[in-house]
Amino acid sequence: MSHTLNTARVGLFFLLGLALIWVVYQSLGDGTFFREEGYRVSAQFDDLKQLKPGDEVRMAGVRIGSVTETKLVRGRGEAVLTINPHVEIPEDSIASVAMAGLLGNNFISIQVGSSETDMEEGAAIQTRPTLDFNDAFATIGDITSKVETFFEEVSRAVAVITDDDDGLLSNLNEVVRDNRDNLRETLANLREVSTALAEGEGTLGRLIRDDEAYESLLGIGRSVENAAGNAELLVSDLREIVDQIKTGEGPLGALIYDETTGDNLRRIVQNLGEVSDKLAAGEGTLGRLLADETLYHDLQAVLQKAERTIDGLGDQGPITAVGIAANALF
Amino acid sequence: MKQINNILEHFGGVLILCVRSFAYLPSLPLQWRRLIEQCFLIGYTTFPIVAILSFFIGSVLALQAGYSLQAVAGQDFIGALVGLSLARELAPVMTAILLAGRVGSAISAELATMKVYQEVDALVTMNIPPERILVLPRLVAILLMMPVLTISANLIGWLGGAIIAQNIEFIQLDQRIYFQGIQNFVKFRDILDGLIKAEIFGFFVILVSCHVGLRTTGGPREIGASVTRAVVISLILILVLDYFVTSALMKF
Amino acid sequence: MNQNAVENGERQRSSIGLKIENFSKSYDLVPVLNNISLEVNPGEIFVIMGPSGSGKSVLLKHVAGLETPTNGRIIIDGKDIAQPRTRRELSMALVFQAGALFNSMSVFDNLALYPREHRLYDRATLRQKVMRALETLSLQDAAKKHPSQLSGGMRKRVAIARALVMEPELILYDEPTSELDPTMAATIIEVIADLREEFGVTSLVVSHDRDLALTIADRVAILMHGDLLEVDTPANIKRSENPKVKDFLNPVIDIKNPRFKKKDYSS
Ligand SMILES: Nc1ncnc2c1ncn2[C@@H]1O[C@H](COP(=O)(O)OP(=O)(O)OP(=O)(O)O)[C@@H](O)[C@H]1O
Ligand SMILES: [Mg+2]
Repeated sequence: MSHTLNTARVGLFFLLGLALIWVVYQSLGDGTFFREEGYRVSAQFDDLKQLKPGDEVRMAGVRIGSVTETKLVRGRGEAVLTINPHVEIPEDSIASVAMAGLLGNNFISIQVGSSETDMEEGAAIQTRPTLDFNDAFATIGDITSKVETFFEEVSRAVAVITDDDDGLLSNLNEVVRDNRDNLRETLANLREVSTALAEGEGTLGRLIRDDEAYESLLGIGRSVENAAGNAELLVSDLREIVDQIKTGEGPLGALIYDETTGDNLRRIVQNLGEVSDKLAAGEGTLGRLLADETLYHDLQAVLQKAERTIDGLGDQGPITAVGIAANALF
Repeated sequence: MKQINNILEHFGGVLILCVRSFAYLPSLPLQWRRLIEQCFLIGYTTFPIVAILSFFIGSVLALQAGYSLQAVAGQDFIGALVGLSLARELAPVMTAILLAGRVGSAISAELATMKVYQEVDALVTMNIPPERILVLPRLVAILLMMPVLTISANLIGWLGGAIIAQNIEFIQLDQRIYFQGIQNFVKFRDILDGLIKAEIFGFFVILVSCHVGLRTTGGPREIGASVTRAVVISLILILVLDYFVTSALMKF
Repeated sequence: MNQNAVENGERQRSSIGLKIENFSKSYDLVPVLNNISLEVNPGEIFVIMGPSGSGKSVLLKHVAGLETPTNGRIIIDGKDIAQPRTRRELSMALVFQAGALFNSMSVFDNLALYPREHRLYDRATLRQKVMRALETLSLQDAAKKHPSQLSGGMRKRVAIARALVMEPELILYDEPTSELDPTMAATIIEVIADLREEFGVTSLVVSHDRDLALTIADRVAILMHGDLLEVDTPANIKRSENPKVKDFLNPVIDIKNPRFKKKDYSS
């Protein structure tokens, strides 16, 4: 028997075994199956969510590296990213923690910037707060309650007006009364849905990954907040108007009889009602909401439309306060 | 009564053999050639069958997992399932069982033959303790080779699972998700537990085979009986030890 | 370990004696040897003769310490062989009746195992010693062969060569000349005598070989059915008045080898 040959074989075999154990240790412990080559970039977040070493870093959906380390730096979570050496990241790129798949695998998504200079070894990348479904729907819930408060205030104001039993205000009164039930229902539905979603613990990857939808929601929230802030002002304005009407002053007729505004209001209320009905009919099962493409697009359209209306009426001066209020309601 | 006596006798004999063999540990560097030869026979030549077996075990695990998880659309978990069951249980146990069948039987046959044909007696008259040159190198060889065999069984099994998960019609799980599942759910601790188990099983399989072989008296017929006995005791021991070692490892 | 061999690689062995006291052995209550007592002096060639199945091989195994007696003691060089230490302190070789060669090793490795395991010589010396032992028994061509490739007689010669390489102070031979042609048997007899002449090696030989017993033996013992019948010089044994001894020795003289060969095989 060739002894030296066997010795070599056994030696190789043993070393191979050690190497395999080492590779497995590296892969399962703190890396990927093959150790990443590349330069390191750090990214700080308020909340790393479920990000952990070994997760991917993607740019435009393409894997460009991995998270090699996560640590706590002065109360913030810092992720150290190892980026493939041949990938260049513009300096003003923005990183965010995103989610893929139902298993809750997180990854770092890098939004490409436009800077001429690229990031270097050891640089820190800008970050954006993590988009989280829970956060988004908490905001919706917030909006809903604000809208409700606002609605109550307006209706109180309107009630004041109606108490005056003045024929001039009957039209405005009608618009609001026609839609009151509709509005209440809508708001209730919205709240129900948002609660259900908020409790859904962020498994609705789909909606949340759509940045636009998210921004829309936030935008509406801001507008409503604005509007709500103006509620008191509005109420006093209304009182003033009522007083003015009582004394036969002001061009209120023009506002009351503005057909376009009225139509717009009615349509939005209708759309929103439709969408919220559908959402509510989904029995709160998150899968259903995700599966229904039309529903998703409807919601988006409504959000956009609402925003546009608010924007459109936004700068028409104090006289359109009622318009803004009505828009915000729906 | 006689049976119990027999079992106790075996038990004591195994322990004494173990102690006696390791008492000669200082002589190991002088016998490195013998050690290499045993490593070759125990580890290297056993590798192909371990590879084939673990590949198919991984495949069938993935197949079964895919079939069962289909109902709840949980196919993302195939990687985790295959990875964990191989690492914690199947790789060490199946490797040990293969070892008992392939190496344990060979060792007990060889030592029984040496005993029956007085080769062991010849060693004793030459003042060369059989434990030193027949048992010790084998025990050390299995301690060195078992982790290599087991980690290979793990990886090859995982690979078999990946191939099946990706290519079987009703599973079609992307390899990336499969391996991600392994990565997310299998901790190195699981691998380590498996390696420790394998080490213990392998050690006892070889020790028992040596003991049974060296205890043989009589003629060629007893050689056959010894081989059977060695394999049966090894298999029982593997499964009994499996329970106790696993529960012991869970406490740490 | 073999102190003498370690000290100066070459020879210089002291002669050791051996004493068997009231030795009995039974297997599963069947007595094989009954109350044997005999003494072998240092440097003596002691031959044990007896019919097949009389317990000669069993006696040798006990002397070598491979089995424990039912009764009695065996003392070699003043030490009880039952003590584990004793074997380490002794330099003793046993030539098995069936050879007991290591089947997994070549003839060369069979011979080299003992000196290698005990680290007695360097490579060159080892090789030279092994080759000389093989040449003594005309085995130089078989060095690379494995035991399974050898004839029965060759196996026996390898077994003897293996004992020679060990350079022991006491050699136990179990029928060294059986299976061998007359010339080779004569060579073996000469080797045994030469070891005594040159190194004072004590030999305990179990044999039916009349030539061996009558030419080189200092004393001969007749063992029959587990009993020691007579211990005396070859000349006195030949003149023995004991009918059983006469009966045993006469046919041996009259009818030559073939019967022994068959008996050897059947034992
Ligand atoms: N291990 C054993 N168990 C039971 N009986 C045995 C055992 N070994 C030997 N015997 C018996 O002891 C007796 C003596 O056997 P032994 O081998 O010593 O004969 P022997 O004198 O060497 O004969 P031969 O000249 O044919 O070699 C035989 O009857 C044999 O059956
Ligand atoms: Mg005999």
